[in-house]
Amino acid sequence: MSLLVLAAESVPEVSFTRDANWFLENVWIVPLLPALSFLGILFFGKRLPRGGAELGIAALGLAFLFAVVANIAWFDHRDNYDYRDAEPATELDHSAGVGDTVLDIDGESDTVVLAAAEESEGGEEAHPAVAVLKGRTWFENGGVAFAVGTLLDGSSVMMLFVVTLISLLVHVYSTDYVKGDVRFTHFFAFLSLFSSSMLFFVLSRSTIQLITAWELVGVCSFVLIGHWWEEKPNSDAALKAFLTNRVGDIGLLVGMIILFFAAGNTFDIVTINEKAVAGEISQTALTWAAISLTAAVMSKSGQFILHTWLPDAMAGPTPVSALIHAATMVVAGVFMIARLYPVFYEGFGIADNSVNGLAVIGAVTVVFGGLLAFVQDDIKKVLAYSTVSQLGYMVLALGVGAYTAALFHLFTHAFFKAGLFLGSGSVAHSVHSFDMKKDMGGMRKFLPTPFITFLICSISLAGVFPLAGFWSKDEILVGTGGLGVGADKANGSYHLMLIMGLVGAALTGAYMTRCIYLTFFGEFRGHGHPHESGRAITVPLIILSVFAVGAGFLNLPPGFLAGSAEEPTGWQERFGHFVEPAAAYFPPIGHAVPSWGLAIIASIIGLAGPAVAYWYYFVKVDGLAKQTGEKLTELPNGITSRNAWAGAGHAVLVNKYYLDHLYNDVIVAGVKGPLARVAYWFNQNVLDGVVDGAADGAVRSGRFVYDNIDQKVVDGAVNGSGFLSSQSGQGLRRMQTGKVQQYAALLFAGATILAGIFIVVI
Amino acid sequence: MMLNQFLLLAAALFCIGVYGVLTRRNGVLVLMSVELILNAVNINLVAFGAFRDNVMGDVFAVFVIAVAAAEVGVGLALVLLMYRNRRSIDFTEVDALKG
Amino acid sequence: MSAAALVLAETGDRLTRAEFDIPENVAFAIIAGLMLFSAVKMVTTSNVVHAALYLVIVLAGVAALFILVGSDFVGATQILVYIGAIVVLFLFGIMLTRARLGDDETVESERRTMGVVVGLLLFVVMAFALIDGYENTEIVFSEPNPVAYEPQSHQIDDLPTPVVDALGIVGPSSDEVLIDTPEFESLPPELQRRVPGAEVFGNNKEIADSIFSQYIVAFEAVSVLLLAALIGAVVVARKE
Repeated sequence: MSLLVLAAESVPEVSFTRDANWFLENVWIVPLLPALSFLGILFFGKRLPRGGAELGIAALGLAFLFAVVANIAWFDHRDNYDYRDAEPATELDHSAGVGDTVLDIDGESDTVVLAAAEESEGGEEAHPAVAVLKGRTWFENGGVAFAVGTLLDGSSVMMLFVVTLISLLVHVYSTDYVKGDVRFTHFFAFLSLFSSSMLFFVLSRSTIQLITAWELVGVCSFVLIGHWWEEKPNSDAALKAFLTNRVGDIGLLVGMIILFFAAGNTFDIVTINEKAVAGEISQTALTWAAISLTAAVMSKSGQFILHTWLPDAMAGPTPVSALIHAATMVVAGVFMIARLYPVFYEGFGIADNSVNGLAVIGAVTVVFGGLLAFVQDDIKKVLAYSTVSQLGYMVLALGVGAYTAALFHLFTHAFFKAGLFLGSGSVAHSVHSFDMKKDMGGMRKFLPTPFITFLICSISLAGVFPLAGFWSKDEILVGTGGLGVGADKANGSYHLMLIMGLVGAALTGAYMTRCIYLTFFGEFRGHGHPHESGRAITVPLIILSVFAVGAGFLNLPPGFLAGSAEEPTGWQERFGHFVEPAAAYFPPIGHAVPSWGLAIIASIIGLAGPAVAYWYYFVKVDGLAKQTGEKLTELPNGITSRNAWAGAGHAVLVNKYYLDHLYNDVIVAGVKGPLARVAYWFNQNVLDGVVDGAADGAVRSGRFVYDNIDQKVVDGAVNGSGFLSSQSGQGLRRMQTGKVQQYAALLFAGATILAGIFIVVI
Repeated sequence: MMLNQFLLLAAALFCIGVYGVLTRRNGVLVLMSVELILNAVNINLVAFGAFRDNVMGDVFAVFVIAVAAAEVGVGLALVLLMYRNRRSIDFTEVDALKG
Repeated sequence: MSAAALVLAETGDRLTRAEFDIPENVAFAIIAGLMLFSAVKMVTTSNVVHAALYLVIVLAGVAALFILVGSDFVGATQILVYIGAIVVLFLFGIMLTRARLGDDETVESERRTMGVVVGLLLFVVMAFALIDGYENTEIVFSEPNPVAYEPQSHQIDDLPTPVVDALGIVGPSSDEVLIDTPEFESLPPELQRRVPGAEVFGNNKEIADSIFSQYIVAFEAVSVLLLAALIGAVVVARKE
């Protein structure tokens, strides 16, 4: 029993109980609420006064309240739950995984509490960090139990909060944004289903559930991205998103199948994780599973080379983009890594390493995504590439073993990115375009609220002290342990990742500065008179920007202003304390020590990017524009037009690294082209020769035949047979009376005669 | 009792049913004759079930009764439709299949 | 169990199965004759309602045959479903199509010869095959259906005389006497079922068991078929 082996020193035993907090046990209600609202909207939405929107908002509101209460219950559970008081429900079967044990108690639902201790540092007394498992055996086949249920621990309870909050705000925002749309009701129905799928995903306790929810999320995103499918680009974008995700889904299935067999025929996530931590799964299996699952993450979370669907997905309505980028869909990949973290941790050998696949993918995505954001004219595409880049941070963090930092960045990113998307939607709503260069500019005068919230969220995204993005990004950078930061408590020394992370930080600030200048400053380049959006749009923006400012304080680095790295006090490490499991199904990861030096250097680098961009746009471009009176968006003779190398780089970026060309022209055409050529050659040389020869022979023999046989023999035969069939047809026609009963008589007579023949013969 | 008692009775009923199907012009009467055919089959099933001393025949007789109920439902619906369209349920008048 | 056998059992005589044959054959002959007559009348009468009533006789005859061979359950189902439901459905059909209630010469087609020829041909072939294949094949009825009994006390008054005689019970008629399981089993089957408190099982249990285990798929298929027929009938017959 891995749990006992591993936690033998700090935790005396595993206990089972039925008495976890009600809200933690019945957390399945949270995904159920939006699912019900989906059905409700689907069936009754059109008859409701507000087209079903009120149902969705009510369901998400209730789910959000439930999530908040569950979070509070979790705080209590995390710190005060004493497994020793719990009455054991059953003896633990020491040969089986914990997950199995809960399932085979005559199919009844039981709550299993996995008790384990925190890393007992400095002789601190061990706290039980417990996950609440609840489930039922859905069915059993071939000795394998298919369980459905909830696995609730810190990370999922955090996700519940994020998903329900963002989704609620997006619902409220959408009531104004898609008002008057032909498929208003349909939109809300799928918004609810989208949220429900994601909530289902974060609560999954078995890999089967995980896959199901993963696909559900994919389908919902397909439907919502293609919401305005009448226009071809939109339906193309939806298809692209769906198909690109299918590529990754193969990886997901392969990975899950490997894990199923490697972990001894089980779908249970906790069991798989425990066995991975305890080294009961072979390293090869874990590595291949981790690689396969990484492919899934690359497509779902938009990691470099499979990210191409994400910017195209901007074709969907803006609230959907916000939901996809902040709380659902793309973070599903990141969360999946976190859920099966031991598989990745052991599979990639994250500990004491300096490079691994996951971290490299993340690091490359951070920089390449950030670079692409520079050349976009569409405000939403800037944000989309920004998301790609930020997701790169999360994957990078998980790749270097900074688990808490990754989830914390996911947490903070959700708020400011949702704020940015909804803000951009508000702007675009007022000018009816997403093109920053053509139709925006000077929007701060027309839209003060979206401007301020957009600015706050951008600063937070850029990682400026002391907004939320600063804290989470800093933790990721520290967590890399590169170049000697994070002391020896980090999981390795990922130098490259640290440098890429710093470059990414500079890029983030710079492209957001460009975006803000083009959108909100300068002269208005569009048409009409933009006006401030309604309360349904501005209130969510304000709420999100408040979180974008304050969310970072939930996880102050230990030793910040008070306390020390060893003994965090107050708000220090609160997020990590509640979110990071310290149970036997979680690997013993190291925690890097925060570094003042790195924080300062990162801040300087992070501000250098925006400073350069500020100088370029706010000083040079703005100055020139005022001088010439033209509406400029860039310098007429910028570096790209003067320097060949810079121009080439710009072209590469504008063409998105030619990845779409690679997929369409090289891979697809590469498969199609040779096939077509082979077919053509075959056609020209083999078939044509045969056909030509045959034709030639046919012509000669044909003439002979025509003269001798056709005119004399055949014609006579043909005419004769024609006459015959005509006559017999006339005769048979009399049998086709159309009288059913006569047909029936013939049927019975025929059957009787046949039966008679059989009887006589046999 | 002899098995053939039942089988021959069933055969006779079957043939009477076939006669009814072939000669009746009224749609409802045709359906009744079909019921006769189905009952002949049921007699066979039950007789063979008794002969082999198991309940298989009984079980399938029950299934046949259920199927017959479905058949009558759909058949009468068709007859009603025909009546509504043509004001007549005379099968000899239905000759749309005429070649 | 056939009705005739029960009648005989009342008398207390111990008859073998072969001896039941005569009354059963008589019953069969009566039922079969009635059925054939009714069936022929059904397909020849020119009164539509009479045809339906003749159908009832045929169906009841079929049910009687089922009971005669011991398939009580199918017999009951036959009566309930056919006579109770299907015939009523036919009567509805007759009324809804406004058939003439008296004699109606138009129901008979002019193609009688064709029907007679095909019908007779069919019968000849089938009869030949049946006689060829099953001549001298006898239905051997199994032992009477099992009887369940819990040992219990009875007033001697309540017991049928043949039972009292068979068990050799003596004593005042108001005395209570306990009949335990060995004693009960020593009784012949015809007497066992006359002991108060004894329960006779038909083959209903077996039918139920096999429907819900061996033939569960067929059962579900039939239920889906019924649903489909229901929906189909509604769709076909509804007004536009």
